[in-house]
Amino acid sequence: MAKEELLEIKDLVLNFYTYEGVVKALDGVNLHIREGETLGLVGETGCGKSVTSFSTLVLVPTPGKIEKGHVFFKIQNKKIDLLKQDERFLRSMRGYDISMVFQEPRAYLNPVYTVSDQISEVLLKHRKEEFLKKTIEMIEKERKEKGLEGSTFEMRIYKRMIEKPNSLITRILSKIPGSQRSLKRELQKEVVRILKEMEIPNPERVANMYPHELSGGMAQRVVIAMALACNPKLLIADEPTTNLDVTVQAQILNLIKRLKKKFKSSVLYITHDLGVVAEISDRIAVMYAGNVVELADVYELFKRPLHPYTRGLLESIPRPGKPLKSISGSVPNLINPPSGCRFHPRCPYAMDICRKVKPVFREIGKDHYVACHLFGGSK
Amino acid sequence: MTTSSRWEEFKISMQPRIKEWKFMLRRMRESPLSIAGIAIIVGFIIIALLAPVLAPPTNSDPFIIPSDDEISKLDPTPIPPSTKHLFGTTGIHQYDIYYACIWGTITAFRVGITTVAISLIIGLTVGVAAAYYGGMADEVLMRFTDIIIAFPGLILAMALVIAIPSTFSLNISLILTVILGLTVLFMFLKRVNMKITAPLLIIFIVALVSLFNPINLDFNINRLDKVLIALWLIGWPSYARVIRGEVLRVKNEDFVEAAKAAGASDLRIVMKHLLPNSIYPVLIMASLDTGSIVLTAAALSFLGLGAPTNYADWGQIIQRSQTWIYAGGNLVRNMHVFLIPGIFIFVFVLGWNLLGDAFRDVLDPTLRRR
Amino acid sequence: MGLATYVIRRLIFLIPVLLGVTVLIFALTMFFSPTQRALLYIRNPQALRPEAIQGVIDKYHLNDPFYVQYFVWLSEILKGNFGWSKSANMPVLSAIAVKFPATFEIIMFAAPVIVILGLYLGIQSAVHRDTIVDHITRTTSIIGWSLPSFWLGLVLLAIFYGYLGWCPPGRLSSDAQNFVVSGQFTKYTGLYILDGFLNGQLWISWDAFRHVILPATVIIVIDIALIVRVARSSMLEALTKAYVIAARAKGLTEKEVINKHARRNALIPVVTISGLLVGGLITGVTITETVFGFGGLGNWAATSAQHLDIPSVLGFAMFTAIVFVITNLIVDILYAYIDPRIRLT
Repeated sequence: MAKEELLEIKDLVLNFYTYEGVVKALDGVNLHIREGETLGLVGETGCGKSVTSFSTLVLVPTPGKIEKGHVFFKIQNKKIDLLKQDERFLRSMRGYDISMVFQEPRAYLNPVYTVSDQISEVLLKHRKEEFLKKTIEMIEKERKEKGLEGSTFEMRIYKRMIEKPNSLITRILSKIPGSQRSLKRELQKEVVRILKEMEIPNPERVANMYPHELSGGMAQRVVIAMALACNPKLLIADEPTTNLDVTVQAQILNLIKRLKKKFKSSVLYITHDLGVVAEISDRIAVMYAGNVVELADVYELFKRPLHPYTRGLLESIPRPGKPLKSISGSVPNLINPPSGCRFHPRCPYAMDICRKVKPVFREIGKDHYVACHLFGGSK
Repeated sequence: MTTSSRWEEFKISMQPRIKEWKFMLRRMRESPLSIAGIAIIVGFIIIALLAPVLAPPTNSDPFIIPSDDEISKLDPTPIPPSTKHLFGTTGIHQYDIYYACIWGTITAFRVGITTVAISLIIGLTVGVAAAYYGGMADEVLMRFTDIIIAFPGLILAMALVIAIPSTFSLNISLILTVILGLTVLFMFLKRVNMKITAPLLIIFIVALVSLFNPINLDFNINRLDKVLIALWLIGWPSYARVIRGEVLRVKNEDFVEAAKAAGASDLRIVMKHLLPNSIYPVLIMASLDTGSIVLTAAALSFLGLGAPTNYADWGQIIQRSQTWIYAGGNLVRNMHVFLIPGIFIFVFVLGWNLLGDAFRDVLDPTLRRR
Repeated sequence: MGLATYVIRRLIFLIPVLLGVTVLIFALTMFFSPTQRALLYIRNPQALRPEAIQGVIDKYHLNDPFYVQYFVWLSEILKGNFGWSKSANMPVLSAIAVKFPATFEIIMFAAPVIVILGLYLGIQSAVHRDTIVDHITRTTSIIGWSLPSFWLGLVLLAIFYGYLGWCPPGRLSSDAQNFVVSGQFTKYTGLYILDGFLNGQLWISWDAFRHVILPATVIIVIDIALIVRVARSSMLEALTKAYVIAARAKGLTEKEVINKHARRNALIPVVTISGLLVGGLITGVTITETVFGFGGLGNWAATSAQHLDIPSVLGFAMFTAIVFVITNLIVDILYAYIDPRIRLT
């Protein structure tokens, strides 16, 4: 793992055990993201993009199972394989070091809780102590201004929550109605601040709304706010704009770009839209049928696409005046995928070896990775 | 196009549906509870079919339970199971419980199946009509079902059973005239095909004429019939609501628009598109309902409102044990009077509930295609 | 729109249904001849002279066109005149008032247990799907639902009374009954368990409890299946939702995901079905009171039906319908309170 690499997925294999058979969804996925960069992940529907993103959080839905591979993540300058960590560690990471934003925002928000409740939840989960201390300070300050001394009941509860968070008494005390008022006030302030950061107009009002009252674009901003609430190092955006109007899409893209710069996070941006990915990425990874087939700088990829699939994709972008081109054949059935290179049935350059041996994913040229026998995939 | 290729076409078009059914059947076979349910129902069907053999009737009406009057003169207390009376007898008239249980099976099937069938027919018609035509018709019909649903089933059944008279004289002419008149009017308003309207119009005119010399039908309604009628009247609203909900859900789907655009007639859309898609919840309801109808009928019999005293009906026999309750020791000694018929009821209802539950699991969206 | 507007709208829709209920009951009375119906208003039919019957018929307009009759009948109902209950020997409405506490005592025990235990079992079943807990819960609840309630009552009575002598039928033992009607006991609520405490006579409470436990258990065993089934399936569905995945992606523990996110959404269909539960309770109470001779509304209704005491049965039917309708209204309001989405419709 190079020095500034934040995430490296190495040879990840994942299967789904279904009624109809074993779906070999991920067939040895390789990709890496550097600090501060946006990696776009493109591919057709069903190629495994979302599954890859869930694997990064080690949140694979049943009946899926990760068979082998590594997900290396850089924490405190150490490279840690997430697949080997326990649930507790992973939970501390989710929402804090790595966050996710989803495709249909309103479905991913709980309909019976307000926006503020749901964002506060993340804050309380990962930054609880920070807020408890802040609240105590606020109360102390207020009391000093009023000339009062000593601590209030609330302050004592909060102090106890910091010192003995797991004791039974603490939990009972914190459930007393009204005892968390000041804490909630502080959290609310932060929520409003974050919402404002997301360029949401009228953030105080929005904070108290329910998800069904939000428009698509607004809901997506809320979900992004939830994801960025703890300033994660890596933001995974799984087709966040696919269901939105084009104008809203542009706004969200700009927002993500701006926030990424401000918070210095990396972004894994998943989409099937080549236009969007070109707009937002520093580098692009192309996925097909459970493999990453090419990974390069965005300009490099568009100027010199190497893998036949990438070339086919770029050629199939409709251009005025030119006849429509498509890639012949259709996406393979992953229960019985093609042997060797999974793209070979549709590849105009297929060779004998492509049918037999799976090409290796390696660096060809400066910072340009391909998995193809045409480009030394046999080594 | 030759017939054989039409048959081929049909087979191909049914393929996905056949695949669905095969999947459903497989799931049902895999679940032990559903197999148990089916086994129970089949078992009872066998008992019902073999009733004349298992318990030969001693009366022209096989549903009258043989009573042992000589013994009853000597000892009016219930006789525990013995070789002469396999399940024992009830007190007083000493009815043979074994006989009552066997023939009671037929009664149970009769009550359950006729009620579900009629409730389905009425309910489906009302529900589909309400959902499809919408507007005022929908409002009126739904208020009507609301009113019936506002009563707990047993209570309304009780009220109906005592209100329904024992003899009934129907002015057939008047009824036919009114029903046909309304139907024909409805059809005119909705511009239904003349091929259907014309024959009904003719019958309507005949009925109208017959009003001058009305035809009357006289009925004698015995107690069990009253129970049946009451059950028919309270059973259909839930089906109407469910099917209406389903049709409304499906009605707005795009493929219905497409069918309309392709020129399909109303009836065709209903039969071919709406019903098949809406039918599953109704199926589940029907099998679960059979069980609860039998329970309600048994409860009515137990309360003394159902089948007459010497009629072969499970609930009725259990009613006989009421006399022996308050002297506590007697209740234990005479337990056979209620224990065995009750087990019959329980297992019968259990079978239908298991079946309905199995259907529900099979059609459960969260379970499919795991 | 807010909760208040929703409530008002639902109240308005209530009225046609209530009217419809009265129409239905009225239609049932029309199955009887005017003379028969006149007798329903009379306390002591034997003592009446034939001419007096005509007077009653005229007073209640029992020979007039049915729309007139309906209005007369309805206005009598609204005045509280439901007719005379032969079996209770008092006006129907008074009979209902007198017998209500007994029935309520049973429901007071049965309903909370059904809801709380049912919810708990249903949710546990869903969370531990396809494990032994799930199978046992589902099997026992389906067995409960299939049992004839009167049969279960008889079986329990045979065991706990006939054999063990612990829980007798009836509402109170004869000693307690005598004490309660004597001047030394004040019926504050009519609920003997409560009144026993309030009077400082704990033995009365215990006695009442012994008598109420079996009928309540019968109803619980049978009706709990309703809640368990709905709670289980709605919890299963909630667990498949997208926001559950999002919650996990936020780093919440599985317990938090279940209790905070899935459960509240799972509660919604359960609230909806609680309305139906009331119907089940009313039916259950009618049957168990008869089996146990409990002396409440159910017992009275059943005896009245057996003796063709028409005003009682019809009065009871109307009463239960009204209770049912109002309960469903409360349930709907609760539903709107829990689920903010519904307030829009």
